[in-house]
Amino acid sequence: MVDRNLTPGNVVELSRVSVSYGSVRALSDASLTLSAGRVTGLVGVNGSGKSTLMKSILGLVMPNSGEISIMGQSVAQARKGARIAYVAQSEAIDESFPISVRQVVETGRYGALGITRRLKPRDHELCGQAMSRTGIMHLSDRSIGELSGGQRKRVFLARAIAQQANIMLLDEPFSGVDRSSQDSIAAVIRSLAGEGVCVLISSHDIASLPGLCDEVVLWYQRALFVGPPGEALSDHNLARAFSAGLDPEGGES
Amino acid sequence: MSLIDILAEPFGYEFMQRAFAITLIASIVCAVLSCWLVLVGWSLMGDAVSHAVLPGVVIAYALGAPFALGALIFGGGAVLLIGVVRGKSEIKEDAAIGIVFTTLFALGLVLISVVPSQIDLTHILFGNLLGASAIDLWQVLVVAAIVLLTVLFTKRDLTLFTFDPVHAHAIGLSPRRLNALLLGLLALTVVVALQAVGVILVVAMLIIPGVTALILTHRLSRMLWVAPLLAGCCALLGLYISYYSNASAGGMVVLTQGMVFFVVLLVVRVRGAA
Repeated sequence: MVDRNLTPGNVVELSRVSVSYGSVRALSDASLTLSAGRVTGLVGVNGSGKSTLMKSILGLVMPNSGEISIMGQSVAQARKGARIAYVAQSEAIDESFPISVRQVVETGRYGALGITRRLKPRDHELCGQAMSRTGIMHLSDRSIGELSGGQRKRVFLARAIAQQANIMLLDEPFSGVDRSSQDSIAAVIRSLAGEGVCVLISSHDIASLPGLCDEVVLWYQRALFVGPPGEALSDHNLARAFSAGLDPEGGES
Repeated sequence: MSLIDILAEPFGYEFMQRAFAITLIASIVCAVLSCWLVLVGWSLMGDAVSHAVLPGVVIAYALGAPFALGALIFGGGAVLLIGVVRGKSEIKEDAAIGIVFTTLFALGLVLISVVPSQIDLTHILFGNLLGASAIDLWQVLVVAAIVLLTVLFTKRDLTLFTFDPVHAHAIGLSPRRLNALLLGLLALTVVVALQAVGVILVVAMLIIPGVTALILTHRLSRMLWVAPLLAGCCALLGLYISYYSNASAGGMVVLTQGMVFFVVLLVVRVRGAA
């Protein structure tokens, strides 16, 4: 549907990345590879560093050591090319901000525009397509404050689509989202992967992952397990991930 | 006396022409910027910057330099200092702002008392609209033009920065640079408004139009028209009333803005309740 200059193989590569906030360790010697066209589920307890992992890929957090490469480029270069889209947790957004759905989706195009960010016909077309795909076209003139949690999620997913990002990082996309929105979001994510987009989803909602993800990563400061959803979500492996925070070696009490 | 005469009479005086021009320009520039300031939560930053420019204005007068230059240097300096105080310690932002602007304001008061000059403190504190010279008007014009042109080119970036700095970062923009840009525009705007209403009331012109527009419309893109339009009308109305009632010009302009705000709030509340 959209030409994203598909790169085969690995698009995100972390090698031995460590991040600390003061004395608190968030990522510890973490290595991870994400591939084009695949949906990866990121599962871990609160405070396991899932958000820090995403922030590192976005360049919001600078690693103390280790390297991150995005499509063979540095994080900074990938940002300049608007390669990475981020759909934040709901709490991160000011819901009362006086902006319409369409205007939010349009900000997805800004990275590709000139200094005044004036949209060209092609950009309007891409925004329209993105809104149709996520089923929010009929809401385009509403304020984001008037939407339900699920509708708002679809707005930010539409923005990521309009951005034509190669990599999409979705932080808890299913929290506070009703069942029907969950299903339609999952369907859009699958079709994006079919177009070659690399998707990373962090989620507490393990039940939603098996049908959606090609691969699940169990995370505590680093990948404890990487593999197919069925195996990852076995009792044994889950127990490892969820008890890691209690492990004295894990660094956190 | 016909309405035309009433409206035209003040313009028979050159000082009133200048007063109208400066007030109108200052109100409009402040109103445009206020739309972002109230959304990003920087209402009191405007108060801080306006107080902090006092020593700059005093030094500029003493040296015979343009007051806008002195104000700008100290306004920018205050912003940097607030960042330093806040960034390097556990001091919260409101405390950092409080320390920096009162210290600089005090420095200004001390300078006025020791530097021999013709400066009248009340003019700086409350504006000197009727005593504005042609040079003052030119300074206001130039600085206002810089602010409005910059806003014209960067308004979408400023909106994105206020709404979602993380997305701005992700698509390759620099939230830090946009933060600095908005602060720089704030410092320039304070310089424009200083002449009209003085240090104390600048903050009113930086908050009231934006908030009034916010409760009238639910789009930032529309606020950017509504706020300056309202502020411009308030400026004209306020100045006419002040001319005919012989009341404080700056005070009357801000009072008008405040009254309009309360009327709008009341109307919106009543209609919302009905």
